[in-house]
Amino acid sequence: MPLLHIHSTITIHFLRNFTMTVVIFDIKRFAVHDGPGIRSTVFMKGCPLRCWWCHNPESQAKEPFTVEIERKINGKNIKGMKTYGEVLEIDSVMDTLIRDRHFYEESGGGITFSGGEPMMQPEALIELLSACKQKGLHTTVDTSGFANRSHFERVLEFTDLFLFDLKNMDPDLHKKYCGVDNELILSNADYLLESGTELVFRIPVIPGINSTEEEVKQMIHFIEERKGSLKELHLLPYHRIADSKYFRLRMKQQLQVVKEPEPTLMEQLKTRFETTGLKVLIGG
Amino acid sequence: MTERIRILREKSLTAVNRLSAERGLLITQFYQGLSATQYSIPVQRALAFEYLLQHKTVCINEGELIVGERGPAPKATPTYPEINLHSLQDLDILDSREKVSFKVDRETRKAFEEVIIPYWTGRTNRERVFNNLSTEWKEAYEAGVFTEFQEQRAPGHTVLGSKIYRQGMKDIIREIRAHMEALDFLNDPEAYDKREELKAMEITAGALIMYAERHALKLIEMAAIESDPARNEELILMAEVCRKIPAEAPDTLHEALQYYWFVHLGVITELNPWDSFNPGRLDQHLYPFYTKDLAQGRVDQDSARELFQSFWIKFNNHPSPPKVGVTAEESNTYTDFCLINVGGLKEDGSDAVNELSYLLLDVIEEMRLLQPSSMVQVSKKNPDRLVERAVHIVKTGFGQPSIFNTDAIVEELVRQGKKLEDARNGGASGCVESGAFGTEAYILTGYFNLVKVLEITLNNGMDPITGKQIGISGGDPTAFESFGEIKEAFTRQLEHFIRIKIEGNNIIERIFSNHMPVPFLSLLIDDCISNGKDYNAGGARYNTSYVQGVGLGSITDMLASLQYHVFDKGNISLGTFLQVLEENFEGHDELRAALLYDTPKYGNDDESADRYARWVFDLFYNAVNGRKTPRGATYRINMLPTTSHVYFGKVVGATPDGRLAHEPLSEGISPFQGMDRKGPTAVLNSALKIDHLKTGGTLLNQKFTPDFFKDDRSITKVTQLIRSYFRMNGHHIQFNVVSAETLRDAQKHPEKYQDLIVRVAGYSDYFNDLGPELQEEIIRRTEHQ
Repeated sequence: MPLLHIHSTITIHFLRNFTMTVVIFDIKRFAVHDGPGIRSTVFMKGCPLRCWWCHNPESQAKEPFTVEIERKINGKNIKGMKTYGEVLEIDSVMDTLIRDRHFYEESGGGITFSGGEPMMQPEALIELLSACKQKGLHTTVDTSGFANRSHFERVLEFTDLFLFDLKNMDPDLHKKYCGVDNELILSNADYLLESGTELVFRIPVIPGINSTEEEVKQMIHFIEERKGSLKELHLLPYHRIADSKYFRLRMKQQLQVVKEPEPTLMEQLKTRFETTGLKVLIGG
Repeated sequence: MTERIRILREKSLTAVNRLSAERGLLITQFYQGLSATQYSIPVQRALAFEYLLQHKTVCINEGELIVGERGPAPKATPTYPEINLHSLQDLDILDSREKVSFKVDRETRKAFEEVIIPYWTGRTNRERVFNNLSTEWKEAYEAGVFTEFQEQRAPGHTVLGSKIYRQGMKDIIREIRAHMEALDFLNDPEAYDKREELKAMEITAGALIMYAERHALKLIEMAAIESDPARNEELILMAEVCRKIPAEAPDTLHEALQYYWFVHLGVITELNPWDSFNPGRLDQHLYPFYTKDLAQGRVDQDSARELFQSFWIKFNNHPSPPKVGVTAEESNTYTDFCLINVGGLKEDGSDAVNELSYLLLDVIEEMRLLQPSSMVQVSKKNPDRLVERAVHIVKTGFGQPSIFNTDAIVEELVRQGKKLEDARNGGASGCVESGAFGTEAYILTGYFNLVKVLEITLNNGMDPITGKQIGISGGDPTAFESFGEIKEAFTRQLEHFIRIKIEGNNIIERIFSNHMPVPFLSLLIDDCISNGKDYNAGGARYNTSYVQGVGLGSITDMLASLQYHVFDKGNISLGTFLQVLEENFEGHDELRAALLYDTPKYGNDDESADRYARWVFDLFYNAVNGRKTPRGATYRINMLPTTSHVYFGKVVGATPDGRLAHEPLSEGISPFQGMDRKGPTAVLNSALKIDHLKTGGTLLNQKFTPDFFKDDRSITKVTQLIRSYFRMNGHHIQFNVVSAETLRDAQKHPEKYQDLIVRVAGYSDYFNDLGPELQEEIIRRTEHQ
């Protein structure tokens, strides 16, 4: 009897290992700024960076967490609990994603994996990407670029488009504002570009932090050198929409005083980046 | 916009809606002078029509190109005492009510008091209707289980086809005579009835020619004293137009538009049919005239545009006839639901979009008027340019045009048994109703309150608002042990009330066909002439009667909540739940929070809620679809509310979805306001879980913030969203593009937002003209960023 008991425990353990899960904090449907067409964006939890301007602070920790929230009913506040993050089986995520298939097909859209940093969960990401490809869905990975090269090597096969962030060109600034060095990021960018995959650089425009003359010059220089394999560039204006999130999550917001960029600044930058010959979109 | 149009538009916008006693007085004079036994009823009605057109004021407004008003002046609105007599109290309400008022001057009031009321009391069709309905019908009606379209207005709900662009009234008279001559009094038991109906039609056709001639004379008189040579020339040309049409078929764009307008006035003067009347596929009917006029140099694009704009203003001068009581609540608007169709398919199934389609869209955008309403028919064969042009207008935020799926409409109509060609010549009218234009009488009979039926079910047949037992008593629901028992009880209750509604409909339909024929409308719709039968008696080629389901989103959420909290989770017993509802959630905020925030909701592509939408829809469909009416029509369903979801909400207490007592219900097939949290694709997927092709129209509202439409890429994505929905057989979608912030501000400062038009439900309306509940409800409809 004891033997049998041990055996069944092992079986359960074995099975569990083969039902892969992913930690996500949201699936946004009708995503229209995360790649071509109408898309669903899977926001995966966990990020190695700690950018001061992070829009999704709830994505930084890998594990789900629960906070107390208040909801308004009849002008009164009723306490409730909200959990940020969910551990889901790959199949269950796919069940949700496939529901909008007709929208993807009509619009040339598909699925975007974002975060957090999707490359933080490489096995789950590959599993999801390959499931999407099996169903004929267009795939996009929205990444900070900060991940082990070997993960990119494996992800590449199942990814139609990379949205790749350029945050700061100066390594010191990058370290200061994002918490990590940008060397690995830039070399991963080159690796992807050399592989011939489709890639779009996205620059979050943070006034005073990466909109300085020096930073812009360096970015343009970086892009100029690689423009042969690029088609498009996205400028994403920083917005303070996440302020309330920091408050709700009781997290410290490091970027206190920066304002949203003026439309004129965005237009100026657009014109400057257009000198590279690339198509430049504001807002992606 | 030319100066002429700018002035006409301004005058139309600022004209005060007021009641006119003219028609009431004329129809009274006519009936007082009539020796009733001398004529059959159809002939009486035709003579009444002739009398009205002979004696009503001919009103020609300064500078206009298309002439003719229903009343003695723009927005002077007649009443129809033979259908519904307004009491002095009604007049006071109309005059003083805050929303959708009609000013009643002393003279008008006096005419009602001294002439109209004394004569018509006891003789109206409304009294005839109510005297013939059963007690159980009246109880259900008073409880707000359903409304009745034909209690204050005549059946209408039809759209003109291409007939008048091919035939003058003289041609039609020849056709009528030929059918009269062919009558077989030896073998056809209906030959006499047919002759009387055909005689009546002939009288009305002649009356319209006479009415146009009265305009011609007035125009000539005006020309004689006109000092401006350009206007003088115009007046003479207009007089010539009025002498040619409607007697003869039109040859020019101007003639075609003026002909339609006289026909329109005829229909809305004869009686007060629902959905006024409608030229329907305007870009199809007028394209040949437009291209011919262009080729012959009779018009250029600018003068054609001006003609259309002049035509547009005529619609805006004609508010819906004044409604009171429940009918005012279910359709509380000046809009009279004339819906211009642009785009779609030709009879042969090919893409019908032409350059006139785009010109009309320009007119719609520039005129920015409440009436006529407008829509774009989108088939998979139509170009993206059409949809994108429409979305560009939608984003300017006045709710027009709404967008329809031609391929679904055609399939719906063919499923109902129409010939493919007749289906392709159709479209949507009113709010969202599918119809075969020119060949179908598709009559809406009333809204049906699905939520009220569930409330009555949960109270074992009793209406908890009044304490009256009006439904079936089939066992105490608090003793139910499974959700299945609730479903069974609801099924019985629904069938009970549908039976009552349909029995009432059948009586009312017969009353109209016997007492209120409409020979003029009949000669316009095929095949009333060849059948020798009135429109109201089943003379049209196709005859349909609709019952409109209301509250699909609400009832879905209610059932999902009961299943989830009472039976799945066991969080609360049904008995306690009902108690909490009776107390309107007083002191139960936490439960209410759980109901609103942590319960499956329709509109999120969540099968645990959406399955009940499908279940209720199928139940409603099976209870109604396929039954026959006395005139030989078939009952069908559609899912639209106008403003009845507000009225129906008022008569329902708190509900298990967390909705407070007397708050509005969900509208159309949209989710309950603010409960869709997963974005528009999830809403559309939920909405697609019912089979749109089994209806004659569904209505879906979506709200976007103006920010969303900042760039052309968003317009493309909205276009793709629409195309995807249509690919999956979605029937209709409409957009409100205005921020909640703007609407809040408009509530506080209505004076600053007098031009703010929003989409309500199948039509647009001035935000200021909406009741406070409806304003709130529109604000709550989720904004998709």
